[in-house]
Amino acid sequence: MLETVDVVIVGAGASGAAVAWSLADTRMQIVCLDQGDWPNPANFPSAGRDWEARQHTDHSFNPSVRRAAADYPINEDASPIKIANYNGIGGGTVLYAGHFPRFHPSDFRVKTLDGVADDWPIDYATLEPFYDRNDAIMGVAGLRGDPANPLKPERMPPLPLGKSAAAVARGFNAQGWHWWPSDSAIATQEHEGRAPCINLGHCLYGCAQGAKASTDITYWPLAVRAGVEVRTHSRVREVCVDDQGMATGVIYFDAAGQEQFQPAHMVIMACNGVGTPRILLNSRSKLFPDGLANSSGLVGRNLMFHPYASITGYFDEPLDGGRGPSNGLWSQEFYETDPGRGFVRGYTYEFSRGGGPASQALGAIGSGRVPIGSGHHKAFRKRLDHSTGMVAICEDLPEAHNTVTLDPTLTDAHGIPAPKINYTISENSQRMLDFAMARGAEVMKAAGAYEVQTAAPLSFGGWHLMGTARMGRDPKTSVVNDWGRSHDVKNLFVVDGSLFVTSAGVNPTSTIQALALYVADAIKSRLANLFD
Amino acid sequence: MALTDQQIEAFRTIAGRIIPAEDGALGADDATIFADLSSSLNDIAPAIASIIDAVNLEGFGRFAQLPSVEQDVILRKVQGALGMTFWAAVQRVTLCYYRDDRVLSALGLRPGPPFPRGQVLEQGDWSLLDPVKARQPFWRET
Ligand SMILES: Cc1cc2nc3c(=O)[nH]c(=O)nc-3n(C[C@H](O)[C@H](O)[C@H](O)COP(=O)(O)OP(=O)(O)OC[C@H]3O[C@@H](n4cnc5c(N)ncnc54)[C@H](O)[C@@H]3O)c2cc1C
Ligand code: SF4
Repeated sequence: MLETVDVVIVGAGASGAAVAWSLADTRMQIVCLDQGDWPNPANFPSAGRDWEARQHTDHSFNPSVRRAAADYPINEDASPIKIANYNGIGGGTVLYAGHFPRFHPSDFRVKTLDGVADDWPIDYATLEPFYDRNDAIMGVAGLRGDPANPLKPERMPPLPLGKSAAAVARGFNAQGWHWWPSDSAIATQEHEGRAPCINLGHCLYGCAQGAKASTDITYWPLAVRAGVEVRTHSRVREVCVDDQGMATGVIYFDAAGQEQFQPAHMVIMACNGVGTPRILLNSRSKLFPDGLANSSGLVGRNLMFHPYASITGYFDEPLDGGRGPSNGLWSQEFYETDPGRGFVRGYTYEFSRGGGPASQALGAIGSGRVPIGSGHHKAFRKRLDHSTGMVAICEDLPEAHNTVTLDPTLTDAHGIPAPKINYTISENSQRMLDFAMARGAEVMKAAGAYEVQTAAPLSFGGWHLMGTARMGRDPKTSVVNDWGRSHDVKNLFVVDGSLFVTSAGVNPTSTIQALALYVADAIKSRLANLFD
Repeated sequence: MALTDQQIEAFRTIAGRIIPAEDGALGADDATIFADLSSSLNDIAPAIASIIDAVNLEGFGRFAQLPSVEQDVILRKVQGALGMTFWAAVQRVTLCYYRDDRVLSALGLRPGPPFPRGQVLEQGDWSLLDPVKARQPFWRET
């Protein structure tokens, strides 16, 4: 049997890294287990001629396409939105776009303000210092003074607008609507030894330059230097408990495929909104027959994704194509609730610059704008580098019937039951998507687009995984308490996107990491009586 | 599953119609482009084989000899019938075609991977932000 450690963290992604770094200063013995490996930037697609092809094969953000050894199968037949993730040190941040918005204060008071879903047990002011600390470690580019948000600390200079974001900005100005340079976890100048962005335009497939803040190059080097052990190729099957209902450690399969038991005084789950409920549901015992920490029956329920709409404009003027990061600006004109719009809550528009030549050709062929066969070249020359767009990221409200459960037959390479997703788009979300496409098309037209293409939902856009082990004060309506500790198992914590009570209309990672730092702080301040 | 030499040759004709040599541009059946393409077909070999079979059926085994207009009609029919199977081939052809140095240069693009040279992105017109800067904060206080 392995030596007992103080803390075992399961998952080395956005939240696992942040909690490990913060807890490291306690000098506790901490081990983090992840099923994947350290990413190797030399192998990232943008360093090879086949860079665009690899987006569709071994570097796809869709694990069902990628099928790497570190991936696990997911039954998503009953979901119109398919999961996107990365399994390895850094987790989803290895492939994320680096959009780094914060929740608004109103996002923590959804029930009080709009009468839907639930309020969070914490508020913006509680998280604010952790947002700030996280921004400093990840490294954020942007501009202070956004009128749609509370004031944030000084950041690195914003990403350039380029021709494409400037065109979209013209459209927003013509409508008299808000836009602002978006906060992005992308270095625009040297940051803590990391080189600045050189506009590879490949953020979603791994940043070979190291400009994008993935946790394998931000938190992890700091945490490892402070003594945290990261154990790769270690896939956790279940959390074990003793007769008193306390977690005793985790069972995992090591790199050689051998089953191991890692005893620990404290277990922290950081496997994301799908991976965490999967392990908790698979941790069945006499005391916890329905899965661990599940007396509320809410483990795996209330899955939220953020349905996305896309809006693409075709212009006569030449634009940037895929030269530059996808990020650039956002608009929160329609963020806060206005009942006159026909839906509650709101969304953010996020600029999306465009792809490389092959991606543009495929997009244009797929939408019938460029033919195969005769006429292909003439049509494509007209379109190439003449389009740009944005997405609308819509707040998804929690609904108990949107779930992660265990598939009765599908298993991963180690025989662990695979997660099964059941998800439907609500009427409120559909109305929001329709509204976002209509207003988005108006922006593009006002920007000078001669043609606009809209689509929703983006079937490949299941990259935000939230809500499946929600926090709250009442053990009947939440899985963990207001500082991330399981109501049922007093030495079991959750720090990933599963914690979310509601999803807000922004990308979640800066909030996930702020929560992880907040939970770590709560643990540190209660060490003497942590399990009472 | 590996494709036979005969199937690869048959697919070369099809690839050359998906992206044809026309309007001064190379086709996907160009020797260098197709060498690159044919070396990356094994994982979609079943899809390629079904496309070849469907094309042979529609073209009565004479697809290669037909005028290009008729070949295009047949491909469109097969595209309609095979859906995602046909798309797998279009995707592979397009991804290999638009990484050829000559194709990219002819389009005015820099050949080769983006890293490590990087690319130039102009700052753009920041005065566009002036009207938004003038706006009062509008997030909801709680
Ligand atoms: C293509 C893409 C684009 C995105 N863009 C953005 C963006 O612009 N902005 C934004 O805010 N968010 C974005 N996201 C989402 C972002 O990546 C996630 O919100 C974030 O990484 C979630 O953090 P997490 O800690 O909850 O989980 P993750 O970062 O997903 O980490 C979970 C880790 O747990 C490990 N794990 C899971 N199960 C097990 C097991 N059984 N045993 C051992 N290890 C396990 C996994 O290997 C993984 O490393 C994007 C994601 C993708 C895929
Ligand atoms: S655009 Fe910038 S952040 Fe994105 S991959 Fe390139 S260098 Fe990295």
